[in-house]
Amino acid sequence: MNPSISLFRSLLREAKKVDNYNFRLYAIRRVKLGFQINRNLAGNEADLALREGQENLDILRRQVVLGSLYPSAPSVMENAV
Amino acid sequence: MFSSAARTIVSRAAASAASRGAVANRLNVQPSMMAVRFASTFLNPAEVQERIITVVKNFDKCDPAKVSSDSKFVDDLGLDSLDSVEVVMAIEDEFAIEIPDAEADRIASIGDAVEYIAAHPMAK
Repeated sequence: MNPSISLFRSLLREAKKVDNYNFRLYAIRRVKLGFQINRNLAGNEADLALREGQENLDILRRQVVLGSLYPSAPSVMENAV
Repeated sequence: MFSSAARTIVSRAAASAASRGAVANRLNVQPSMMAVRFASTFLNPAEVQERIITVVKNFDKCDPAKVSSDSKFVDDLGLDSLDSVEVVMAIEDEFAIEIPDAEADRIASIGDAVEYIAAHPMAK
C-alpha cells in the first residue's frame, strides 16, 4: 500500500473529527492543499514531507482530543434548515 | 365469584403488559422495533448503484455527464489517486460506514464500490 495515500486518508479521517466547524473545515482544506503542494516530490524530499505529514497527523489527533474536551457552540453553517 | 376470577385474570394480563412496556421503555425502543434492529440488512444493488452515481456526480472534480455505472475513477473520470480517496470517503459518508484502508485501495471504479457496499451488512 502506498504510504502517502494511507497518510492522506488518515489525515482526512482525523480532520473530519475536529469539533469546531471552522477548524474542521480548515483542517480538511489544509490536508488537501498540502498534498497538492507536495505532489511532485520524489526521493529524499518525499520522505521528509511524509515524516512532516506524520507529525501533523499526531498534532491533529491531539487537537481533536482537546477540541472534544472543550466543545464550542455549533456554527450556523451546521444547522442547515 | 366467576366475575371476580375474570377480573383477576384481566388485571394480571394488564400487569404483565405494563411490565413489558417498562422493559421497552428502559431500553428506549418500541417493542416492535426490537426485532428489526438486529436484522442484517443488505441494500438493494440497484439502489446502491443509483446513490453511488449521485455521490460521484456531486463530486466537484468530475464531469457529471461522464459518470456512468461502469466508470473507472482514474481512467474514465480523470481523477488522480488523491481524488479517488476523497470519492471513496464521500461514499463512506453516504452509507454511514468506514471502509478499511486495504479494501478502500481496491475500490477503483463505480462497479467496485457498488459490489462492496451491496455486500456490506452495515451499510445504510
